[in-house]
Amino acid sequence: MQIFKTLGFCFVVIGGLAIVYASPAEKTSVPSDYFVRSMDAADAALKPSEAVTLSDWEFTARSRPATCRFVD
Amino acid sequence: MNLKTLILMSVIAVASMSAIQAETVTQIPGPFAPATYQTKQAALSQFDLGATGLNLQNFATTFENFTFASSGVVNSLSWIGQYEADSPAPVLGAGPNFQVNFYTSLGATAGSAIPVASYNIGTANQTLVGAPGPLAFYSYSTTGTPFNVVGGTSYFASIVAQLDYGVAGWGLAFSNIGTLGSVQDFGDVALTRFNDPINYAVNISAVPEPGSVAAILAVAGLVAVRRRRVAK
Repeated sequence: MQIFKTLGFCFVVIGGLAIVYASPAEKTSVPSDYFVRSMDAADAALKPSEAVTLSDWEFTARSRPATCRFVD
Repeated sequence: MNLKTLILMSVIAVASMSAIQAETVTQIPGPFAPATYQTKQAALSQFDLGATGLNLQNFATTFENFTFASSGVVNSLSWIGQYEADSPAPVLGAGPNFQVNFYTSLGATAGSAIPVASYNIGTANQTLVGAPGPLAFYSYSTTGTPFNVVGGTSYFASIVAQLDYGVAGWGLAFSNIGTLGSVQDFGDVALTRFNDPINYAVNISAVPEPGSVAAILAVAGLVAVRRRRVAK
């Protein structure tokens, strides 16, 4: 009977340790706001509202290099 | 009336008629024949009504210089133009509206020319001339661009189609007639000035100002009266 109590205790201890070490908070070594700051940097470079889609580009851009200044 | 008076009256009449006659700067050959420059027959001269964002609306402006021997008023203007090959065939009589500007100077940099007179005109009697080259040519004319010129002074004129480039591209035809040299300000998002050793197919006519004509006729009349009195 004592053996079952010991094994049960070991399972509880090992299981608890496994849960603690497997948690993301324990595995991440970067600051908790890292991803937030990364998103801000990307957002500053290209706002979602200013994103250029292929259809927008085709609609707004006039391809007129200097070589095209004559009628052809 | 003796012979001397008759001769003098004739000389005055001829002088008056020549003064009243229109003077024309002619750069359109008759009959029209296309001129080629860098393998092309026309240069874009267009205000793109459909350009947005960074794309310039005034992306292409051609300037042609002209000088009249005598002072007067520009009373008619005609020119030859061409649509780009991938443009839909224009409906005759429903061509683009044009802006005609006159300048005393073009400024030092592209896009800096400030007109001293500016006119918005309609379809300018667009008429198919023919297609002696790969693309069709159209003739245009207007009498709605009065502009005072001083004899011996050089001016510039620009003729720009007001047209969405997404609909059609339009340009002014080249010409080999006249003193070589023309200017084009061109660019997609920033203008660059191009000086080309070619002319544009443009005719500009001017007549003496009404005041000048009246003065000439008045002098002629006084001379005639004096001669009659002397003869009596």
